[in-house]
Amino acid sequence: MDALIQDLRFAVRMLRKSPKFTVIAIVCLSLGVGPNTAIFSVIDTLLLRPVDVARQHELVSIRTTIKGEVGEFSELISLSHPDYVDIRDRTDLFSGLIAYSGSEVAVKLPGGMTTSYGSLVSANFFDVLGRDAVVGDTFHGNPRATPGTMPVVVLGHGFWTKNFGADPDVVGRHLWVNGFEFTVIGVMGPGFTGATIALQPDMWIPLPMCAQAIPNQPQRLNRRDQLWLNVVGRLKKGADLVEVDTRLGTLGETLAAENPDEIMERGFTSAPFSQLGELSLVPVGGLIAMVMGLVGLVLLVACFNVAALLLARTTERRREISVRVAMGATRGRLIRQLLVESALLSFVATLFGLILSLWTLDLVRSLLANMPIHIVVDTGLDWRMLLFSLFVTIVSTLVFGLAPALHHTKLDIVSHLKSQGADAGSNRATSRLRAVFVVMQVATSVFMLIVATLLWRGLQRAGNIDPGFDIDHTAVFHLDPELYGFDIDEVGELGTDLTLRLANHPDVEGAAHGHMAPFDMNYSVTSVQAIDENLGTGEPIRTLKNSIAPGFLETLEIPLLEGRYFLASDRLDRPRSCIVNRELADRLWPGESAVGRQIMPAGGEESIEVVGVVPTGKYQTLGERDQPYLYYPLQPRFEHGLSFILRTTRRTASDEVTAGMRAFLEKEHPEMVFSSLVSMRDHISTILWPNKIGAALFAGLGLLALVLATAGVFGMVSHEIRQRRGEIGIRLALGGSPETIMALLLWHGFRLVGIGIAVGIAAAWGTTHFLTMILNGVSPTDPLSFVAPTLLLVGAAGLAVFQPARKAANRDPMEALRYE
Amino acid sequence: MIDNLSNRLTDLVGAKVSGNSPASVIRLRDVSKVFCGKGLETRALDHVQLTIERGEFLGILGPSGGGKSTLLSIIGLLDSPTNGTYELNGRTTVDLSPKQRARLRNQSIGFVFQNFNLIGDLDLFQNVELPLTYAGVSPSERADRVASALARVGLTDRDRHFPAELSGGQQQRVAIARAVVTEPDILLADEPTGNLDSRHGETIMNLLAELHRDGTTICLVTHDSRYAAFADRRVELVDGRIVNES
Repeated sequence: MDALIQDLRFAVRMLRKSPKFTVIAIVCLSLGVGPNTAIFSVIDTLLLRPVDVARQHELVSIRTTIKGEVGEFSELISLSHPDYVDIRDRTDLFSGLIAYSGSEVAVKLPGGMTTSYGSLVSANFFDVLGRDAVVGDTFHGNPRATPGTMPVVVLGHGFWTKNFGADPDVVGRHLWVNGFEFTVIGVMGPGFTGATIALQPDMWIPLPMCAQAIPNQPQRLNRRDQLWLNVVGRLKKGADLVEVDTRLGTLGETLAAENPDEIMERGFTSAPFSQLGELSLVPVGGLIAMVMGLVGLVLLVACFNVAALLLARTTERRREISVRVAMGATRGRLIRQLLVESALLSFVATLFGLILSLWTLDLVRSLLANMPIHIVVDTGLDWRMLLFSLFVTIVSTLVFGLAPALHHTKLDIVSHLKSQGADAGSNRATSRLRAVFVVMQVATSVFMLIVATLLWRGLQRAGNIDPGFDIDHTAVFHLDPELYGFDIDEVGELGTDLTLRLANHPDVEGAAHGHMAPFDMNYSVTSVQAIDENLGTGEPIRTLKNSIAPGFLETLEIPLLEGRYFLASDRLDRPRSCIVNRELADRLWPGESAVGRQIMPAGGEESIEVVGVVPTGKYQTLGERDQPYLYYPLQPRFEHGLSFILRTTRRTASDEVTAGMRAFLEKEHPEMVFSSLVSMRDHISTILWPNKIGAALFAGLGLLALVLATAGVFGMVSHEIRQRRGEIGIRLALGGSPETIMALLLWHGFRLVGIGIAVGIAAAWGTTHFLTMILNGVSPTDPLSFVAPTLLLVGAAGLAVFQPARKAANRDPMEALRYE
Repeated sequence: MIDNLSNRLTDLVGAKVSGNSPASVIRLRDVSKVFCGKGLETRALDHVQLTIERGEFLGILGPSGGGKSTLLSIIGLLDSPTNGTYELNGRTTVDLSPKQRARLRNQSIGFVFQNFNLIGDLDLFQNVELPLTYAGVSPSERADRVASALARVGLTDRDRHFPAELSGGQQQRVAIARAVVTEPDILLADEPTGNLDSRHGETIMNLLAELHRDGTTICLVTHDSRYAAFADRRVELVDGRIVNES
């Protein structure tokens, strides 16, 4: 311990003695540590952190298992309400069993109507999770409460703060949800998100009020075929997952026997509770590893940078190390001393990195505050963040401190002891190791910049891709009339009525509606088979589908290739008809005309006639490959929600026009929310946000890596020049011109930069094909994306090499020789 | 304290270094050292036989490149012979691990270099204290022994000064204090006056002579015959061979 304290004291003295080195090293490391800690914190908050519930380890998730077509069982996260009730009432494994599901609701606020994110939860939800309201109370109702008898809501903290100014008198106020009157009884704490991480519902509505919260499906609580509830139980003392699985298996068989018409090949299973909800079935670990790996690269560049600096610095301390060896210091002892210095640097850098990450998190929080949903990102410093920082400190100490320490404790002691000056001359092995560090920095930086450029180019290309219809003069919005009390039979009338009103608006040239608009986040898929009188049915083709009213394709100006558009007479209850895109037509009847042919949809009993063929467009992402697409005539009775398409007369769907259209609609229907009305270009841009985030992340981190790499090149060249001062003096004294000296030094610097660039390009060349799907048609080996970052790095490195080289080449030879 | 140190050393190298110590501190038999590089073989030492008795003051003379420093490095366990055997206190050193060599170097050998080799970032006290730190001596005992060593070289009142604040002669005295603070079996001095003017050189040689009178075994490398005269016995090394002994 005494020796360790001595090492620490000496480390402090050594760092104070070289303030320039210390500051540069700390800045470099902080720039590496800061983003790592910030991104870890965001990932931790969104995906890893336990939810704010009591004794999470006692909770188990109940899932449905369904037998697939080839006999395999797959797990679904959701259960039906009758299943939940049966498990709750017919097992004694749990001290409490809760059910919950998210649903969009229309809420009338003093400022007007708004759509909110509600969570329908069983009446025992808060009691089982063990959390109370911070204002008012939660509902402690009987989970067997009669439907419609609990018109109360508990508000989320974010919703309460945003819409009620955190007024504690909100308790007892009435709130109109989907046109029904509810009473606010309480507000939950700021960190409470329910049983799902990060996403905080605006309000919790008791499950008995399901018919009011999801008005279009009044029978949802009674339907065993509708799997929509997440179910979580709190295990009784002594119960375990094996017992739960066994009992649930038996119950599943019993229920299947009791309800043969409703349950086919279905059962239950349990899993340790996961706050990820649906995401628990997704390989989240891979995503986390990818993001952390990316940001870890920046830390790696910073570490390489500091390692090169340390190497240069310990080179100057070789004599001191040799003396210590002569005095009997073991190699282990010396490595420890050097690592203590590195650890001290890491520690200070981590402190600054933490401050940097807290600023970054504040920025993230302010960005999230503008989102329509309340995502809880705790920006405070907590032990998890500190633990991660400690981990980063240890890793970075080992990465940048160990190699120089190992290297410098394996030196030629005798020659260093006999040397006269501070420098014992350049050591070839040291130079090589330092060169490796510089090459790695440059390579990492080039790699990240190439990926960032590719992603930006992909985004840029997205704006130029033709989706198959006019996006510049089109606007779109979504409406769920049932949220406003419209009867299922009235939805069709409302759609037609609104379409007519919009079409008559002076700013609108055409209007239409359908179930989904292009590039909606949700999509429907079905399988169809070609029916041939002679050959029978063909192979099933999987295709996207949409239901549209007459005029939908015309409004989007999607041309007909064959046949006709839908007519008012094309209804599902009349002779059935459909329109297919070119891709589907070619797959069903290659090289033949599709019009007049028949197809059979999966599970269908009647064939459908193809009445038209339209070109293949883009439906989900701009970069997608050609996909089969099938249009049915709209039958609102079978669909949930409507999407409206407007073609504007001003030949642009600018913000001004969309704002005008919103105002028009709100005036026509003040009880409805039309906030989703945006230009088609804005609508499409929402599907590009993952690309934008990816590009911004890569660009930001790539530029950071560029700065660090440039600093690294500068440091390396400056050190080399310092080491070669004598040689430079001799060359100059022997008649060498400053130009030839400079060329020599530039060659030395650029050689390493060149190798680094080559390594970076090779790494990018080998990996960018994984990005093909999100590049919107840009080649993963797009020459411009490879050349531009290369030139940028050459330019930055050029400046880093040129300045010290010019200074050295123009030095007075006598000065250099005196030094020698 | 000495017993304590020697017990620890016994544990490490399996040889008793005090009490029943052999008369010869250093015994080299047929020691050769060959440096190989890029197909070129350089024989720095060629079948050297050398014994240094306890309490002896040996002077090693010879021209530059004669192998003096290589010999001193091998004796100081900073290097190993290519051939031959080297015994320190009667224990062969060939099979020692790097850790054992470091321990032995720390306990049995004191170094004085031509260019002092003090650590500029440590004050005089800390410089002299350094070998004791590596030996695991307690802080209170270190303080006593450092004070005693600095007193021996006449620098008691300068212990919190840094090397840069001293003259060359004073720095070398500190280096000698550092070399003797562990009370080593042998003090190896490699051209200790090489960087000093004659007045300071004389002072240093007198100090070494005084240490020798007090019982310290000294091996001095020098090319200056004036200083070689301080030694009891002199060997001359030319082209890696001992060509003369007087």
